[in-house]
Amino acid sequence: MNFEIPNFLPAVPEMFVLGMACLILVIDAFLPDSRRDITYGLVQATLVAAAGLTLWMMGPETVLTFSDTFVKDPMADILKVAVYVTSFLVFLYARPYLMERGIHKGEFYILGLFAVLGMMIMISGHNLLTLYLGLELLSLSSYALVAFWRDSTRATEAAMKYFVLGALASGLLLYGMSMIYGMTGSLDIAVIAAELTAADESLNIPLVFGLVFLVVAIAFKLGAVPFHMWVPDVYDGAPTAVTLFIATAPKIAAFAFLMRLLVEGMGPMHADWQGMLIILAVLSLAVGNVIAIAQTSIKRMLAYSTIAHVGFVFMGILAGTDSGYASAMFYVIVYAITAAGGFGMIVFLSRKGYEADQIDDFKGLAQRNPWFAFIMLLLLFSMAGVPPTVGFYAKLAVIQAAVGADLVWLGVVAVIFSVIGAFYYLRVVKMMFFDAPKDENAEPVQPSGALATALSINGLAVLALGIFPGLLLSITHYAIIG
Amino acid sequence: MLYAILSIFLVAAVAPVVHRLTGRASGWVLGLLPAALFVYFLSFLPAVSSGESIVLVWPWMPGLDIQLSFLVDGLSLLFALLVSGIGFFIVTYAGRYLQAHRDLGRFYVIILAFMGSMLGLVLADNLIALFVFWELTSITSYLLIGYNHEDKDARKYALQGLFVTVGGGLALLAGIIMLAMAGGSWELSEILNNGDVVREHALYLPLLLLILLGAFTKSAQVPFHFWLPRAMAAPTPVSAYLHSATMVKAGVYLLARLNPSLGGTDIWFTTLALFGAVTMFTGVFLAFRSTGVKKVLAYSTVMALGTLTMLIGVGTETALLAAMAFLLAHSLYKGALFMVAGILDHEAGAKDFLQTGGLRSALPVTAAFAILAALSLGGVIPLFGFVAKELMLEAVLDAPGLVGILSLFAVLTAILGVAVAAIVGIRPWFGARADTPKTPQHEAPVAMLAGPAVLASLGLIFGLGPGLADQGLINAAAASVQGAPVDGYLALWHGINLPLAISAFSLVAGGLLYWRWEQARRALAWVDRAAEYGPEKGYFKMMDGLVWISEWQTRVLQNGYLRYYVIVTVAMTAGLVGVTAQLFEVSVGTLHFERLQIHEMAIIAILVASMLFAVLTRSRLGAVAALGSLGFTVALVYVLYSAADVGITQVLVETLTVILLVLVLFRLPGFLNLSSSALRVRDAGIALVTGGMITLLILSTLDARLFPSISQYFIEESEPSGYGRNIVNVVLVDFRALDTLGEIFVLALAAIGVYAMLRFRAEDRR
Repeated sequence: MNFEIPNFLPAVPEMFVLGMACLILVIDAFLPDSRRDITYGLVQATLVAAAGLTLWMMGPETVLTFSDTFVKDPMADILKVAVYVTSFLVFLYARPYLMERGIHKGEFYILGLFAVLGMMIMISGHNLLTLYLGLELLSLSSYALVAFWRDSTRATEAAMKYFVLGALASGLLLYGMSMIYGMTGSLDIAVIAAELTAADESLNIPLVFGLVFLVVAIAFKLGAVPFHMWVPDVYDGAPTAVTLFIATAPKIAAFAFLMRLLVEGMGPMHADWQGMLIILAVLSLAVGNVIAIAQTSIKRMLAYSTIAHVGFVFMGILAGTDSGYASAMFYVIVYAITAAGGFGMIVFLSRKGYEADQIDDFKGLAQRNPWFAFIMLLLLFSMAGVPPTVGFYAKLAVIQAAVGADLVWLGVVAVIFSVIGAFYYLRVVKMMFFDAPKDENAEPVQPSGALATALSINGLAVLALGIFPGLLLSITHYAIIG
Repeated sequence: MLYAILSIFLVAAVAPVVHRLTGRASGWVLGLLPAALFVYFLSFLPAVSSGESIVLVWPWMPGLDIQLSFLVDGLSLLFALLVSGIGFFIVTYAGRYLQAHRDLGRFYVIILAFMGSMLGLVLADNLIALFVFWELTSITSYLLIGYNHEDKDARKYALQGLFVTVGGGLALLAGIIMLAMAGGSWELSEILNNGDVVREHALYLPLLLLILLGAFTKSAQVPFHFWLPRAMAAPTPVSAYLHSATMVKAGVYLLARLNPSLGGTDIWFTTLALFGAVTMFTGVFLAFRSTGVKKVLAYSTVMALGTLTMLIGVGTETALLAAMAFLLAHSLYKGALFMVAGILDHEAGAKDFLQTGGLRSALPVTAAFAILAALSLGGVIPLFGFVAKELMLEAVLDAPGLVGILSLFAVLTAILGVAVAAIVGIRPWFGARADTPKTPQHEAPVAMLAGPAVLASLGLIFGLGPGLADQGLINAAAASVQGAPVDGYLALWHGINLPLAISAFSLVAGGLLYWRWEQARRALAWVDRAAEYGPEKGYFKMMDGLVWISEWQTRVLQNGYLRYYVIVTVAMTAGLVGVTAQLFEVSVGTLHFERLQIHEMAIIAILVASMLFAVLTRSRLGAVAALGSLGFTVALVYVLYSAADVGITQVLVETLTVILLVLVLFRLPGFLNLSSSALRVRDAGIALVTGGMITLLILSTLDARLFPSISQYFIEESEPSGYGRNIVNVVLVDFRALDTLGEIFVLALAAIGVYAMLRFRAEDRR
């Protein structure tokens, strides 16, 4: 047997993040509680440096390494950068929240960093097992993050539900993978695709069964109806800082996971999974948009809104065209940025002993702080898909992709549910601008520090990207089409 | 052109600063911008009136084939001139009207942004750009309507207006995407030349309906007319602007714009003509029986919008000419009248016609221009409104179908229209002097009078010389709506004909109606009760219904119990597998039960018995023991099929599991029966279905085998390469040595972790 030294170069960002995460873990163990900012700073610096590495190594070619289990291509680079950026924002938003609640622990950032590593592996996985490893690293970190505020019974309950259901989904995923492996004889994404093209009729049935399990697991991880039940409970129960994290960057990774598994691996079976995704997309749009209306907690409302957005992402992917994939990628990045801002706003308005997690808490925000009411307005409009915010172009691109794939009815259904969905976003806007604050003596919100600046930039980015959508659109086109 | 529109948004951004610097004169200063734009647009007039249409392009989103392009032709120029021209008066007017308001600076920002969006909307050549500006007008007008947010109604109806228009807008988006697909381009200028292709396209019907939905909601056609009068909560200058030249006309603009490409079919004609006619009548009828100053005017706007829709639907040359003339006439008089309504409120504090009367002497100038505008509204010779109305009647009488219904509505509308004009033009100014809430001290300031004066006078000038409006603009506008040059012309005097007779008759009948206004209103009180079942009721019912469905779904789907979530996940997966099996007609190969040996039967019996015992027993320990026995039996199966090593592993794992379980269970309280038997039956059902599915899966995949098993490789290579005969051992320590090392490492690490935790606990106790 001969052992070849693999090409480590494409995986340098991953190795860097892993090394830093271990190093920070050790450093953090020796820090007194008052010096947690060092951990925070190191984690942020790691993200910045990783972004630098990824950008520096970016190139148009597709490189495979570690016996073809790992891939570095434009899509991977761009999605990784998106993950760094959103995670950076998330940690920045989360810090004051954690400090005020006395849970400013190193574990939050370190678990977060491990989750980032998991996402990077999901994005670059080129083998069923690498993908699974990435997913589990992310999932296990997320479970721990949700449970991380041990004094909160709601968080603990949420973590319990998340874990049990997540483990079930992971089991289903492995089961599906094992069936695919059994039928194609390989774990390699590219080989599987080649085998599927060559496979004869008799293998159809077991392959489709395997596919069903894969789709179910992906639907669960992304939170698509009817595998969405964990989403509202976990988003609502987890500390807002954690919700902020699990609602944003992991969706980008899940998109990549879906692309690698279904599009690159199971691409030849497009006709089979297209139908399944259509069902999931329509259900997600329907349930997400309709149930959101009845919510009184803004975290739950945004959870349902996430579910609806997942429906849109599916719409782009199921079209099965390159422009469809590019539009879905555009959508998911836009979603992550917007959701970071939206949850960031909840964090921003929360104070010690007071969670601004009810929709009522947004009443009269325009009087208490017109600027941040405006920022929130931009974010909500973007979620609802109202121009000139970038959310509109995301919806436009996705619907265009669906219509282009001769799924006109699906486009119409999406529009109908967007209209229904617009209602609950607009209701929040109305409350902010037209209603009196719930508490008559509510003090004006005093913006302060990095959080306020970052949040403003985040909100304005949603507008700026909407006025000049060409940039991000051409990036996603480049990532998919080249 | 791009700079023209950008300039508005830029000025909007600095408007509060300008306001602070210039104080009282801010209205005039900021009014300079729309005035300049008006002049700029006017410079296009010679080219446009000679039948040219100009397209200006900027690249915007190369990836999506979207350019920022503008189209200047008769129709868009007419609108652009109206928007900027009336915009000038609105801004100067608002400078005085809202002088005392603390947020005037913010008001300028929004109204200028709104103006920019409206200009963008009417000038856009690209469908996406058009849509973006379309939604922008919805948003900015929402902020304008809700400007007085201390007012409870303002808050409530702002949301309603926003939801109806934004929702309609999203429907429009779907329609636009389909239109672009059908027409093969995102550029209006190209789609409009492709009318036949679009009309023949399979998507024609859905795209038409979606676009109509968007246009109808925006232009307040029945049954969406309810949001418009509600939006009267806005400050008066806003109402004047929204109603005369902008917002609500956007829907009409869209219909007119797309007429060359979508119009000319039966469905287009029928839908537009009928909806338009019904809206027209509903509007004027509701206007007649209202008394609030702004309400009467608002409903008469609904009437005008209905008329325009109907005329575009009729689509003959006369009808299109009439539509454009009517559009101009309406913008002029409605702008003037709303500003007069503002003066009434500002000077006399009157918001209702019943509060007014005999104000002629106190506000002589206002009264004069109000009466002039009202005459145009009533369609009295020699005003421009008359010219437009004559043409409208002519077009309806020559309509390609439905002449009876349309004429009936047109005549009724003409009569009531005269009565409404009389309410506006006579009631506040003549008769006995009424006690208004505020006694007018002086005539309105110049800034507030300029608008009504100029607009109402233009109504007279264009009436006396219709050629002025016609040759320059109306003809070109009608030509761009028709998609071909127009031969017709506007004239004040068409000779004695049927339309003239109808006009004369309606003047008399309308006058009579106004004379009997009080009685008529009382006789129509039932409408209020009927209105409770109207479309607005429908809107609220729908909203309540949505909330109800939503709450119900939450209760059912999101009850917070983990067990239900698991049930749904498992059942859904089983369901999906089942559906797939159905779709692919999965068949299971024959099972040869007759070949079963006696010891195999025994094993199966033990398996089944242990399973049943595990499920049915009430003792925890018993259940664990039964599970253990299940595991050991499975190990037996392995041994039976000559996989002794796997069997041993199974035995070990099983033993360990049972011990662990027993250790844990040892500490748990007694077994409680918490679930009812119905629940248990349900759970059993789910378990059976899931188990069945998995069995089916395994059976169906038994035969599928693509590649040879890898075991042959190890069998052959184990001795030469690994120097061992026990294949499993060789695999563990040789072929996969690194994996084994990793596993040992992980286990050791976990063990250290556990040990550390135990130590910590022990120390804590101490």
